[in-house]
Amino acid sequence: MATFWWCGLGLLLGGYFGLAGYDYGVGMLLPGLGRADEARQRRALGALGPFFLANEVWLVAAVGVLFGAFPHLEGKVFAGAYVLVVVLLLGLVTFTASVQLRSRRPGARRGPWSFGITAGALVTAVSWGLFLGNLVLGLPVDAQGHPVDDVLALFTPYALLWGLGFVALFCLQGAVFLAVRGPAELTTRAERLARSSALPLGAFLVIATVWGAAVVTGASWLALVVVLTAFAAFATVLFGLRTGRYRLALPAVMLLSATPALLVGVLRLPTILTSSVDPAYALTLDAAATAPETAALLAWFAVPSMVLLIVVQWLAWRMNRTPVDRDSLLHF
Amino acid sequence: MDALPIARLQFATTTSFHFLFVLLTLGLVTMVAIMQTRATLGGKPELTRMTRFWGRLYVINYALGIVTGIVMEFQFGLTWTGLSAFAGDVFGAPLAIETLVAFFLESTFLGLWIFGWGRLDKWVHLALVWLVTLTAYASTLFIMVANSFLQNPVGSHPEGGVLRLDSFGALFTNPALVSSLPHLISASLITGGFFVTGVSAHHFLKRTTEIEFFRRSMRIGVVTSLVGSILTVNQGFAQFGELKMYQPGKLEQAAIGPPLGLMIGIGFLALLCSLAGTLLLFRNWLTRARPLLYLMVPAIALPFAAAICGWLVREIGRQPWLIWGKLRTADALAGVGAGQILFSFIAFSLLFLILAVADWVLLSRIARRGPESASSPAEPELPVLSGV
Repeated sequence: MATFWWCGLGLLLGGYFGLAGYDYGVGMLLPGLGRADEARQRRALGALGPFFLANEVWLVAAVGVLFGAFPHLEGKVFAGAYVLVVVLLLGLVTFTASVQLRSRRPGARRGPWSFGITAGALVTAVSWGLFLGNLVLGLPVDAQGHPVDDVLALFTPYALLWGLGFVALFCLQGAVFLAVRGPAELTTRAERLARSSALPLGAFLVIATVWGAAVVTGASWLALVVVLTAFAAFATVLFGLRTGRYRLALPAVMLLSATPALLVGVLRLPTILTSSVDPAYALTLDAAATAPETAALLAWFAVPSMVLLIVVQWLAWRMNRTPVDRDSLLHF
Repeated sequence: MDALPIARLQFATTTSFHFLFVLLTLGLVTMVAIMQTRATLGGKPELTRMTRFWGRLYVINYALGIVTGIVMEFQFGLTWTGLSAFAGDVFGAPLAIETLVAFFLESTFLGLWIFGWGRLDKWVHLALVWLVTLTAYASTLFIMVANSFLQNPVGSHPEGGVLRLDSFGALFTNPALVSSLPHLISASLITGGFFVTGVSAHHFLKRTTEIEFFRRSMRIGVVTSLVGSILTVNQGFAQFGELKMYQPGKLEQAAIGPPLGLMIGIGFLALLCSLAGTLLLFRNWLTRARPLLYLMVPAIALPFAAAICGWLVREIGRQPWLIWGKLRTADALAGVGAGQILFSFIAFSLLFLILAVADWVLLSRIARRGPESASSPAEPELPVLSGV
């Protein structure tokens, strides 16, 4: 049952990064799409429109499952990276609220909201990178899993590399999304932005893999599978961009965005959390899981609603997959 | 520096902000769903425009409900780690189900509803607004199940230093839940009803030309407030008996008196006002009673004040327990440095304050603008269409 829910959590988190990643990417790229051109900015945000609310809540569901199915991991992983998670939430709240409120009043000033979108997306991207980078090396917690009171321990060079890598990753994802669903006048620019984010992202993937392989001990064979998937997905994105097949590049870059979280999940299975300061600490999957009865109960509710959800979100995509044009409904 | 009071204050602040928004969300979406049903069944054209106008206000309010909710959810793992370690097997279930079954679906359906205007079949679109409403109610149910468990930990037993779940069903028949849930839902109806009535009153004071539009809106607002306040007062008093069973002596605490008195006062005032308002609907006397209209606008704030008081009564009375009789609040606190908790308290409070003020300013400006006339689009300078 613990393995089942670990896969469920992986699905939700992978879904979150695969979907919400392009929200943050479009948010970060927004100033690069023509700052003074309100109509163009609205069409870029409108491209996200039908999917935005649904994308963001994958995270809420993932954290719900984390609490429900792995209550003994939830406290360790958030409290252990307290400052990072707080900053992540500040960015996330600013971004989510700004997107939803920006265009509500006709003819109103939108500068502060646009700033909130871009800054919020940037903070969110960097914080996710830092957080996951920390999880690869282990959190700064003592032998009992209690956080050590040292904020700077969360800002190691390796984690900072991940922070920067995530900016490039989400920018690429946002640009590819705009190439698929953005308005026609943005396609060329989106493609250019995608190409310029691909280079730093490639560098990040190579450096993070080599560096990680050198410092991480006890990696499982599944981790290798995830890393290979990431490189294969990245190659597919490059191929899609080169040949103009954006509809191929989009699912590939979404898969690529899901891989860092999946990597963290399988890296040292069955150990799921380690400490960077005390090698004695190791939390295993079974120790983190809830009682089997609770896990089974959750499955009764979760499986039908997940199936319904994926069907509904797929239909929403089918309905709205064509590029934004003059007749599109732009809510955001 | 002691981390406990800061951590408690932080959770209280986040929850208060969250509560202010979800309360209106829940009441307003019910009324929007009723308006859209009547419009779809072939009512007057005003009903479609009413659905759009009130739906637009609903969507603005919803935005802050989500973001404050996300922070609340994370705070269990950030600050109150003892709760998941001790009672995760029990408390985690309703919380996880809420996010998966209710909230996740609610947001997805809401997205479809917003972008389905004029695109979807009208019956499918109507079904969506009801799905949004139902999932919002389901959300309330599961969150109240979780909260009631903290008040009165039924359906579980301690074993090896943690709580184990015996019966999931017992969580739903918890005496701490059975009256408080309808009390809360009907309070949200009052909040929505007062909001719609107050905004309509403002437009009558400004001598609006949209007489039919706001007359109908006000009628729905007043009737919703009446239904809500009868049920709220009734279910509020029903809780006194149940409270004696699971938290005896709670209401004798000194800190409980003022908020309890204020809540009961506002409750009866709301009942009286909506009763009088309903009687004055006869021949539309209400829309012409200008002195009353002046009172209705500031009265929008009353249900919010009562709700915060009610929440204080319920949660302050639980201290020093996080889970009544089982886990002390002080023992549930994570071993995070007080300085870090202070930083997050200040940062979140400031951010929420800025966003809440911005949201309310936006809400009031759009409410004062009134509905768009059927012919002219919102932003003629942009060759794009707005949704709701």
